[in-house]
Amino acid sequence: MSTAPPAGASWLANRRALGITIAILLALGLAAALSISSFWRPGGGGNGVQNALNAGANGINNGVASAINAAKSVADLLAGRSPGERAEGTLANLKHRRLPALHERALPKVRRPGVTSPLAGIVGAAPVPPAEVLPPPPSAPLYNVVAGGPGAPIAAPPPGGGPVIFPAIPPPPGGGGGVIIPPPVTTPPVTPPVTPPVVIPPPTTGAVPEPSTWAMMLLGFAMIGRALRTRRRAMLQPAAR
Amino acid sequence: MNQILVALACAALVTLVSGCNSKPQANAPAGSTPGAAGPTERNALPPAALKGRTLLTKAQLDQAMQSGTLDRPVNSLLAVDGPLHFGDYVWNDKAIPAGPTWVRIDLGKQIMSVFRGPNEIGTAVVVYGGDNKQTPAGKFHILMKDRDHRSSLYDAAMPYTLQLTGDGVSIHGSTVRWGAATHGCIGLPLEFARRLFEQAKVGDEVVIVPPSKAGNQTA
Repeated sequence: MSTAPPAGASWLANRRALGITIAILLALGLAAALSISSFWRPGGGGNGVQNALNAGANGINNGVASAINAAKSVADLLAGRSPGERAEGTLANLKHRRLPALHERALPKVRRPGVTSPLAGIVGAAPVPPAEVLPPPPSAPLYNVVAGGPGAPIAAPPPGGGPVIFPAIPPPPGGGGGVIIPPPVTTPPVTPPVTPPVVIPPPTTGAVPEPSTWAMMLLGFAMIGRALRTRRRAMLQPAAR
Repeated sequence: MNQILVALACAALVTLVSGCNSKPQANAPAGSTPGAAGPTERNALPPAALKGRTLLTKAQLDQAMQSGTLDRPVNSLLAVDGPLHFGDYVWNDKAIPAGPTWVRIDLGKQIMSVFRGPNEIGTAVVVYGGDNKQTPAGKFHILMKDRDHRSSLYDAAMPYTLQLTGDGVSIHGSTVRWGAATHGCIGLPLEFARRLFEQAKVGDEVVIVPPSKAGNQTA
């Protein structure tokens, strides 16, 4: 047994069907608008429609993005835009270090005063150079010179008429003349006098450089400056013309 | 079921109509997110400044302050869609009210953020010091500005220099590419460096976050 539906129910069913139809049409229109906006190319006509569609898409995206961003922390928001951390060992120098200047390489080693070397206890103190002893000046003659004079006695010949030792040349008249007599054997040996040792100090340089030192230093600086200028000028010139 | 469909369709239509009244931002990428902030924070910025910008909620700000990601209150961040590439930057200071400029540099993430007051106005990918010439971390103040500076140590151009330390560590325009490093400076894309140079002044604060701390913050 079937009963006919009432007239009010039929009207309600038609209204529901109409609502469903409208909803489907709106959803299809919205989907079409989104697809058109995604494939729309600028430069053509209908910019107003394009802007409207883009704005509508942006509005929907904004709502979704706001909900997503609200759930993220600030660190996640900042990390989301990062290209990533730099990998270990990746290093490409963008700039080249300048070559050291000549005077930087010529600088001596800096030693601070008052700082003892760690090797001082091992090596010990520096040895003192031995004092040089100069030979004494000759103060005693090797031979005794007896100056002869008039009337100087000549050694008498030994008694007994022995041979004359001295040459038979008669002495010059008036006598005179020196005679070298060999030293007696009994002469005591000559001992040099005791003199204090003479210590020669090491050569010291003056606090004020000599003019030649000044001139050489200035000449060196001038040569260094000229070399730097020449090198810089050569680097600034183009390699190929 | 029918009511649900009708409600969804109406919501989509309302969203479509409300989006027609706004114009897209020129400098900012797509994706404005003004819907996640409280009413007080929303009123802090004019409506024209809300595009391309993410307003932070109080919970987000509190969490960032507690974790050390931020050391001062921040109202909004630039909305950036996805990771930036080397050499990319975003600059959007439209309708942002005046305020002190400060810079946050995250070395681990290789990201710089430029703030005007509590609002971010620019962000870019940076390069920083290598392993043998590390960039110092901490808070610095801009000591000197020089538009056409040249390094006396490396004999290299440093355009738009903002000097941070006495020994020459600076922020300047550079070649920003993958795997690159500097001798301690912060290298920026040239156009971004120009904008930052015009925005910053001597005495402004720069916060450099070291890589290890930045890594802990995201955990």
